Amino acid sequence: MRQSDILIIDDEPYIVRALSRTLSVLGCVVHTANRGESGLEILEQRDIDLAICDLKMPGMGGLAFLKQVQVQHPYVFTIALTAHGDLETAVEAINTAGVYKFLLKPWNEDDLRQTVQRVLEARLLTLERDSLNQKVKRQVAILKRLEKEHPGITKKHLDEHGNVLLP
Amino acid sequence: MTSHDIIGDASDAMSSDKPPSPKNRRILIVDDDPGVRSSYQSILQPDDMDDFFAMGMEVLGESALDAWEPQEPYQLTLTESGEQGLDAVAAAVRQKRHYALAFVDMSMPGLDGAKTVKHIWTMDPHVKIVIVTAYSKYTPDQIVRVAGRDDILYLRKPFNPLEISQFARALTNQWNLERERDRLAENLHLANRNLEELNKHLEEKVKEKTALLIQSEKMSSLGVLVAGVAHEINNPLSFVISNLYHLQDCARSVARPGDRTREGNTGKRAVHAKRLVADMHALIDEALEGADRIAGIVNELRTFSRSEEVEGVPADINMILDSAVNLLRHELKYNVKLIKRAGRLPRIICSPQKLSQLFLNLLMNAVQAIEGQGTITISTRAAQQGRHLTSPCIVTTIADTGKGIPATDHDKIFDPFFTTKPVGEGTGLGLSIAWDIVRHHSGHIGVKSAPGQGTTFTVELPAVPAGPAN
Repeated sequence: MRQSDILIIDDEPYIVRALSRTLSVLGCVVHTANRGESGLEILEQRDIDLAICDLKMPGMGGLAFLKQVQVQHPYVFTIALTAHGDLETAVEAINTAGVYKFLLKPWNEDDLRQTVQRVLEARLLTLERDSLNQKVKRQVAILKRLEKEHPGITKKHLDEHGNVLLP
Repeated sequence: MTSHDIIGDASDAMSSDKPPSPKNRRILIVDDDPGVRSSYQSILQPDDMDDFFAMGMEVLGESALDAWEPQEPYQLTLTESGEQGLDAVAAAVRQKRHYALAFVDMSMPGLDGAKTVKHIWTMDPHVKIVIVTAYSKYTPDQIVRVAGRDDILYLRKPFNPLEISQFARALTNQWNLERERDRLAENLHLANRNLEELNKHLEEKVKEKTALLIQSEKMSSLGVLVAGVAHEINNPLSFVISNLYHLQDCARSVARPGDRTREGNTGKRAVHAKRLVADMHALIDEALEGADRIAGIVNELRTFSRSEEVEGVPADINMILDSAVNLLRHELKYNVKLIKRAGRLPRIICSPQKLSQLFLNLLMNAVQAIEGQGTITISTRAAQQGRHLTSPCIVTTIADTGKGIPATDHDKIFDPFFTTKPVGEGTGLGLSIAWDIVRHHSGHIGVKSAPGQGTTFTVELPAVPAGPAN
């Protein structure tokens, strides 16, 4: 959690302040915005790990912002914030905009901390998995090429770079 | 005594298909002369007549068959004196087999005809009476004076059989018609009474249902508000709670000033303390502001609670409009621009809660008419007279740049349940209730709109002045 970069977006400044306080105490680096558009700008400029966003906002609105993030910044994980009258939008956000979890207003401080922690962990796991997947893909590509050029060679021993080990 | 007793049928007020009651053909004869009594019998009951008299009449050239033959035979009761006649009538009344008609001789020993008639009528006022008199001793006026009524028919002795049979036929028919009329009149009366009661009953039901519908409309508009209000309340509540949490942390910091805080590794204690106090003040101020906002919204909501409805109190229309706008602030925030042009308005006597609902309904319609971005303009002004009201009034217009209403719908929109929204959305009662509320205040509401060109509602409310004491 320490040194994670978190973006907070809400049109209500006092809420942004309140969230920032909580997350700063946890050691996060907090970035803030009041509208979806400015939030996207920040995402372009900085490496953000997690964005917490209110669903009801003027201008582009929370849902539209989250959908953009999903497309343009797939490794920025998101949490949606919503008041009770808005659960349908929250569900839509999870189902169609890749939101990982949502929080209800007013939130419980412990819930907030735990949720942020879980989402950051999930993000790390996803990054790791994706990175490992990439490696495996590369390996398989190399092996395939080798096999094509030198059929039967993969039955021999290879080191991790694809070099044939000669006995 | 009603016609029901006489005819003896149980009339159901609602059924008019009863078969006609059997015709009453009972006739009473009161005459002390046996010869006269026989004459009556031969005329009215020709088959029962003594053969001797039949022969006699033929010999004399008068045929009983000259008399009109009745469709059905009469039932004759022959009595010899006034007293006997009265006994017969009494018995008839007791047995509910009333006489339709009585031929009464005027001069009889004992009770004379007029007195007899008077007494007959005290027992049965419906009997038709023919007084038969030989002498001109008594004038009709005298007889009427004794008998007490003037609907007596007279016959002179010696009478012509035709006269007797015609009187018998005409008067028994009349008696029957009168009873039928009485019966129908009573049916009508009963039916009317039933209808009145039904009407009253229905009116009450309608009032009940209308009240329920209005209440349910309030609830449904309240439902629309709840989503917005949830946001308006939960936002400030969020940072009030969060701030209190942080104040708790600050309190712990104060208790253990040596602890490291987000200051980092170092920090002079004095500076730290000062920072802490400043933080706490900021947290408290924000929280108080948040609490205030919540209190404000709750207050606005109270205008919807039923127990708050009052009539005939002074209020400021601008304030009522502001209240309604506040409640809808959430809906307006995101894609609607609001322009308010408030004129200087006197306070007027009205029902503030009803007007609040009125404006809320109109504003809600305006918001929902706007697809995408739009503007709502609210303006108020005081006028010496409006376009429809000829006395001083307050003119309020609510205009939107939404999708507009086609001209064909302009007079339908105020109808209950008329809605262009899909099923399940809205009750279609909003404008109908608005109409009722305007009418309740003796005002006028009009609409100007065209598809694609927005809609303007204009409400004129009579400016019933609030006195200085208010």
